[in-house]
Amino acid sequence: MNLPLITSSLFAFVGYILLFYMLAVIFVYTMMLIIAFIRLTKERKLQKNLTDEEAVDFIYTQPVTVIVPAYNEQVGVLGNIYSLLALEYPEFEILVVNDGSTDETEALVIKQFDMKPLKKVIHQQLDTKPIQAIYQSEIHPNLRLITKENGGKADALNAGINVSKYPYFCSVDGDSMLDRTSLLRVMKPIMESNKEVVATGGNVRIANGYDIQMGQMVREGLPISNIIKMQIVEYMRAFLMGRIALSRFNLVLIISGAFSVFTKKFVLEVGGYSTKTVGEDMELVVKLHKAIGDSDENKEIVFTADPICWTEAPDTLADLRTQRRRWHQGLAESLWLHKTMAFNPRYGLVGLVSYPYFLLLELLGPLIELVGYVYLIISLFMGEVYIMFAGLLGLTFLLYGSLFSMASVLLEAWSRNTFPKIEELISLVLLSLTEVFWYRPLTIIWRVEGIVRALRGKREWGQIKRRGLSEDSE
Amino acid sequence: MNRILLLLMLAIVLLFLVLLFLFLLLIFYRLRQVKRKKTIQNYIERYQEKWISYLVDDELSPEQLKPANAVEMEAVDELFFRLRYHFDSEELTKKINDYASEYMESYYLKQLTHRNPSIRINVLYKIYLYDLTFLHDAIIKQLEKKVHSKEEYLVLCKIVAKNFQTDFAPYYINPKIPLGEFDYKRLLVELDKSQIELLAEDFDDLPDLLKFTILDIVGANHYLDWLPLMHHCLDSPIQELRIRALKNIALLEVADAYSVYEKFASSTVWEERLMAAKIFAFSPQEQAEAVLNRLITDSSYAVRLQAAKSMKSLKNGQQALDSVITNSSDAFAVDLAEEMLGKE
Repeated sequence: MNLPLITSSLFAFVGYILLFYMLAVIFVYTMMLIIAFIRLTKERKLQKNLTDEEAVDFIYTQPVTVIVPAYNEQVGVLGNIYSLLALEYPEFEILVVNDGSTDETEALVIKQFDMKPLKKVIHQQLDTKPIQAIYQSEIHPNLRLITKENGGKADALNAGINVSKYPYFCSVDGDSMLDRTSLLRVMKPIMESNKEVVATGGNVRIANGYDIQMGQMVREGLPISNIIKMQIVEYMRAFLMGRIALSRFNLVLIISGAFSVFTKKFVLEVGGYSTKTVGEDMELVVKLHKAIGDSDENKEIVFTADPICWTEAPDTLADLRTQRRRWHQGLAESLWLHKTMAFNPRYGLVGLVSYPYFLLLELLGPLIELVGYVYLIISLFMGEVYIMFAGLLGLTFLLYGSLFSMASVLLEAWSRNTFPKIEELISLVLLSLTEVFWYRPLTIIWRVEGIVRALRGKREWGQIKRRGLSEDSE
Repeated sequence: MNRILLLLMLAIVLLFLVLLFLFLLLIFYRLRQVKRKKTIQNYIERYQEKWISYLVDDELSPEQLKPANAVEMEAVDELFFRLRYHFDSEELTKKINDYASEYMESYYLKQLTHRNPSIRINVLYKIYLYDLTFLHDAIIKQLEKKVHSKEEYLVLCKIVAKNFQTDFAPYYINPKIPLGEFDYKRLLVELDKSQIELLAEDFDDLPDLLKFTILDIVGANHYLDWLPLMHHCLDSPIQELRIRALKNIALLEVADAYSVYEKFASSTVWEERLMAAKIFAFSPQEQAEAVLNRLITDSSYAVRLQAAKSMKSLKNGQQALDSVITNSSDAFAVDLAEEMLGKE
């Protein structure tokens, strides 16, 4: 056999592997899309406002501690707190954990809510960096501020858990805002399941460009920036298509740290948030699944599409890169820390389906796709034989990268009655068709960078510039 | 091989065309929906004064407001919802009932038997909210059906309990669908006292979860005359029932049977000690102080904290806490006492 023949055979072999992988991925996502469609069909016409009123009664809701880790969040923290104070929920406390901010976060919160120092015995159930002081608002007695040495987001959340007094806690990012009914709706699966559900994650949406005043959404609308619009499409796809389907079979390994509720008892049993990873939210969920599997308890972790948390998306490519790199690094670290779960029947479907899905599709997907893009370009120079093959591979990329996004936008528009408006819908659909040509390749490269950083053991979170969602932040 | 590749290509292109078609279809439906909403809004704006004349001022006959088509019925329903959401009066309920039974019976019945469960649930909530008693037979018929979602069953039960004082009990005691505690709470929270009493006639034979819920409702509503039943539950071999009884005795804010509660302060179950600590907040000073002094050094943090809180609410609570600060060798108890005397 001569060298060109070997090279050609090897090239063809790699091509078929890539094609097989892409077709498998497309099959999985199509299934997810169908499951999400069936689920949304059932709920689409349900008027949720009719049921909310009933659920407000204190007698069947469980009290919740809302924990807001804040590091240099002076731009968004007030809007965040106002939105939390407006929550329709019978009994809850808000703990803002100032994780050694170097900006005006602490002073701003103390001044705005008239906070006074509070003597409080802390039940130190999780190890954290020392707490320096606790303040309580004179205006809103259920609002407290904890100031502590900087230890990272996980450490701040653990400090919040130590100070919390209720059996459930809800983590909300300092730059995010909740709808009035969000807490009620995210707690519903826990209450209705009669404590079988130990954690729930809410739907996170991007609010850049929206009209927000005093922590409340006044008017919905699409931002101008294509980078943000593309992220809106991406969030729709991830939350509506991915998590709904995974949640249907108790396979959710990621519930967003921006908005999720946990049963405190179980989180304490697994040692709280890990400070060893930049993806502490995912790591906690994987750890909980592991504990559930180890104890053979019949517990669930679910995603609920309805409760909405509004978050600020990065609006520059540099910030987006920092975020995506960190997310993927967190994913890699979480999977690595719990590698014993992989393909392990002890953990049921989580070990046999969910873990492999996150490993092969979510973690390694970008790496394989990157190889695919390179392969595609080389194929075009390899002569006529490969043109057809390159065309097919390109179409699978188009299907995977753009058409699924388009389908998600349509699914979202169909399942919701008010948003997006027709002109916004057209704009999002057209933009989603361009994803494969610019946005997807960029995020693939950043995610591969995340894998590299995980392999090198880098620990920095990286700073993302915040502009603030609420008008009062300006 | 090339043929397979070609077929795959065609499949992907076809999928794109399907999505494109769905996209256009969606836009068509969205446009239609926007138009429908606008029509409803226009109707409400145009007729709301007339409706208020009929419903509130009693100056107009219902014939003048007879809905002309399905969209107008939808608009009237929306108007009922807005009114009923904000106002509650017997007169309003009667007027809505009269009007709906005359002109909208088929509208509600159609939704009640609709294939889509969401539509059925929506209309059930509305029937509950508007008190549409003329649909009683249809509601019972629905309840007798074999297949329901849990949500549907719960709202059907609530409607029966709201509109018919005694018919509800069998559906609560022997539900067709397994119910959890949260479900029972949803069912029981709006029952009046006589209905709770009816339900608890054979308390010992009820499902455990229903017993727990009844105790919680009694505690939340401060039904003091139920104290003997609470005491009866304290002798139960079911640990959760004892804890619930203790918890709700604490909510009744009475602690007149010292000897009954005192033994729970030494229980091996920390939740029972916690609830005992809660109850002793309402006990006479000398009895409570001795027990709470012990519980403030308990092995469970929750019990210690509760003991400190209860101590604070005693008549001479400040003195008792000062005494802990001065005399206790337990640093944690001292900290808690200091916290209680500070700002809580």
